[in-house]
Amino acid sequence: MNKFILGVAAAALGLSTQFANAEETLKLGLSHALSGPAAYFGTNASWVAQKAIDRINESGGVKVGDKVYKLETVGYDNQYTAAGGATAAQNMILRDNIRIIANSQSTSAVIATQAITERAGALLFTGVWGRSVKGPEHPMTFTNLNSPPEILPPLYKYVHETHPEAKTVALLNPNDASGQEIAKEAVIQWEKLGFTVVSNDFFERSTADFAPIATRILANNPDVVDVGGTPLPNAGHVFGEMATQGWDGIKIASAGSEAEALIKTGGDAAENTYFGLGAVFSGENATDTQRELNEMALVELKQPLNQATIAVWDSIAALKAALEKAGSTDPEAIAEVLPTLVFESSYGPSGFGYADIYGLPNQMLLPVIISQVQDGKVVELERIIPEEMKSKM
Amino acid sequence: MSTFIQLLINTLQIGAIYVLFSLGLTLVFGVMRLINFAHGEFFALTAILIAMQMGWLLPDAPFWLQYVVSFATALGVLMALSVVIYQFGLSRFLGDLSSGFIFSLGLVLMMRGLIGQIFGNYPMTAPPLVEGAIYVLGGAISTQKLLVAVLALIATGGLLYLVFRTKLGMALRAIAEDQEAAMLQGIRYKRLALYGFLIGSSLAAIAGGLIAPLQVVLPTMGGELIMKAFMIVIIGGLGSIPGAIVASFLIAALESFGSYFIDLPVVTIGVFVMVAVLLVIRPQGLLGHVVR
Amino acid sequence: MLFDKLNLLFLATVAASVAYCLAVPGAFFVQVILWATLAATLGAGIRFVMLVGELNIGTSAFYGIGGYTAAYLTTAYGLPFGVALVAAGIAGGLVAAVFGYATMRTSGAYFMLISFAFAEIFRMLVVESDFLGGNNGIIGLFVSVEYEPYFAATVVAILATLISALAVIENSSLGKSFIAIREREEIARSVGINVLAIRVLCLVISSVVIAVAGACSGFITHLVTPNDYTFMIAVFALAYVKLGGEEHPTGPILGAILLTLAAQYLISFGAYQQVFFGTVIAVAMILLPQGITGRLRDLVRLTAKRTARDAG
Repeated sequence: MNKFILGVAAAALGLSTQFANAEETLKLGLSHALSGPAAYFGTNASWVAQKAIDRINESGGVKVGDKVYKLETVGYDNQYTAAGGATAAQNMILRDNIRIIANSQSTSAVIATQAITERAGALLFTGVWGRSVKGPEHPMTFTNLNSPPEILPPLYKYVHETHPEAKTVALLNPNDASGQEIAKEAVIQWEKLGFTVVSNDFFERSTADFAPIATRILANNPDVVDVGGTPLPNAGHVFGEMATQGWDGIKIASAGSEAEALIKTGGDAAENTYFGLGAVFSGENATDTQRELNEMALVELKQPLNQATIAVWDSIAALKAALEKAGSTDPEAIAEVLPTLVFESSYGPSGFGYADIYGLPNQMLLPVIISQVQDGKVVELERIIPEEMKSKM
Repeated sequence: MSTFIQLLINTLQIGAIYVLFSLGLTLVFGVMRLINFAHGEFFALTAILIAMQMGWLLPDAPFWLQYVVSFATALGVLMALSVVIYQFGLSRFLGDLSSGFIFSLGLVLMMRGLIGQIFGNYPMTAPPLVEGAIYVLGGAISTQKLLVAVLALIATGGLLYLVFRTKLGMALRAIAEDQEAAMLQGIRYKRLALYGFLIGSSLAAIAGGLIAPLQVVLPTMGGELIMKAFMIVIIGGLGSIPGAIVASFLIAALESFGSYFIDLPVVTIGVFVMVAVLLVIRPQGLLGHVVR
Repeated sequence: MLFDKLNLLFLATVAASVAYCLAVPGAFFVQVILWATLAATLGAGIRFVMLVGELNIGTSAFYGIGGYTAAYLTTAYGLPFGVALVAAGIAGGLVAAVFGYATMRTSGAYFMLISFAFAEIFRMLVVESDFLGGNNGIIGLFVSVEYEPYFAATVVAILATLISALAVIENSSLGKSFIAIREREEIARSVGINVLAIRVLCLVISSVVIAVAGACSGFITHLVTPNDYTFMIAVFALAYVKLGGEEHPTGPILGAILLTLAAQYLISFGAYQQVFFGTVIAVAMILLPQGITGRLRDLVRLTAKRTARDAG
């Protein structure tokens, strides 16, 4: 047995040195959930990442100094857990010698990944929300998706101005890290606008029937129901139950991204729901890149893309620009260059900023898109480009 | 008053599915003396097969016909799969709790992964067959949910008839009463255990088929339900049919009333603690008898 | 004779692993050794309770109690690694004593399900406990920088010692009374064995070992969260036991090593990893009902018989 282990060990070592010598390709890590309830986010994001590097490789790769690199992705299933995230990160850093992780999902997995990548000086991109994953303690971490502090103020302001008579709001979120994070932020932002938060509930992700929760929320007869980070297929059932039980108020899904799924499960009850992260890429407001990708996804994945799954496209676009500007594949050099960039994201010109919120300019500057269900379709109402981005352009 | 009625209605609609699902689990335990973890996968697979077929199998037919046809094919697939799983796997572990448990867990990992790869991991839905809602004394229930609850109760009635009024049912109950004597019967026992297993699996499948238009359909949906079913069969007593029925509505009522008056996560913990305490003072469950 | 060889093989594997961890402390394969060691400890721990005839799904909760105790003490009070391990073991043992006293009166399917409920209660309570970080868990279990090169070797050495201790207890008179209780409870009772006390003791010993392994797991991922301690931990532990064979203490270790190595190979399959793992478990249950060590023993006996017959 020990001989066997040593043999495997030798093989593993041999493999890693072999990878270290390969110079023409640059490996980008992906830490996605490929199994479990969040698997479709991971599967779809992995697909987007492949399209992103395909496009770059077809147009000649990335020029770093006088070398040209082809990109390649190496993905691991982080199982949406801390232990899974740590295993994936150790595989990427120690086994595959990867120093750039282009995308990572799940708050727990990302926190565990950071414990490894920050120490190893590796670059990490993620779309998770928590304020704790960002900021000066994690200088090598960059985020590629709008999060509650960016989304909620303009979204709530819009709703407040459209419905000045509304005064009370009920919050509902999944009972996990991202749900708790958004609830905290939502209470602050609603109260800033003078609203009374009449209830602030959490449900287990395993909840199947939402009738009891609907009854509980409606007991306070709120003007607004904000289902925050609730997965939108479930949110459709929540709104459906509420409609059955006779409620017809203002519906907000502030941070869910699968808008079309909400329409499918909610039916008529989904009508007029507002989204803060639910932009769809089939409409006229989407960019050409987004529309094209979305059409390919409909053919190959048989489902549309959303803001969460397309995010990896933008981190790879940012990486390409940073690699070329830095003239080096050294993660520290890239991290230094990233905040100074203006690059072409899938939404149009973008950069990094929000140092005023997080203490470091590591959050991608993306437009906040407010949309709404109208006649069974998601319609874009307003696209707010951050002031910081405007001043960069 | 109307809130109370609403909570009662919620209890009924949740409980109806719990009953169907956990009856299957407890029946399988009764005749095979093993806890089939893959019960939840049968449930999920049926729901997925139905959600998949609706829309392309008979795209021009009315919804109810599409639903009936896809339900029937899904049930057929599940029965065939159950026979295979029994013949090549579970029949080797009759009465062997730990091996049967691990084997069925291997099945769960296999099936869940394969279902995700074959049908996609994204949430699906089956369209509702009927629209609208019905109002009773100030409480409301969507017509679709009422239909499902009624169908579930009819299926439960059918099972009770089968178990308590037919020859097959009598034989199955005899096995559950005295496992060792039954096992001595050899081949006959194996065949009866297969029937018991098929009935149990079809209950999971029916529950999955009924829930498809009501709930987000995902490959992991069975794993979530089976946790609750475990609690239900413990409370009711392993192998006890009346126990499973009582416990299903008890848990449903706790969830419905509890999540209204207290926090839902707290209720979930409360249910587990209650189960643990119950097991300590009355290990055989509410209506079970001691199984050795 | 076969089992003596297996014991030797175990010691040789441990020695080789410790040496490798010391020689190349930063290598990826050190991580694999650590994962295999944790898995082996889990398998040995869950098998230990099987000596009195029970399947303890609560193993995952005791693993978590160890992880959380270590995480809380290191982050809140800055206690060092060694102290955290001892504290984790004590916490695991204490909780096991209380839990065991209440539940070890039940047996069979009921104990299995009650321990299952316990595993879920533990996870949900942690989610609801703000001082344990709720869903986010506790981050920051690091050993000091100077100590880091020795960390992996220490973990392997400590856990291997604990696994060996379990095997020693199994062969002592205490271990004999465990098996006596499993095989003939009434007779054990009639000769004056306090069945409940011995059963609880068995659970406590197993849980101390599991909790220490849990504490080590926290230092390996640097983070503990509720979802790292679901009942699936116990499920995999049982898979190690079943694949390796439950008759001999080296069985779960063999199973743990094989499945951990398989996982390294399978991880590059992404989503199919789960499918392969499930298939390995299900097929092994059918083809090797006695596990690998059980199969080996049968083969050895068969050969011995043949040789004897040929000689005679």
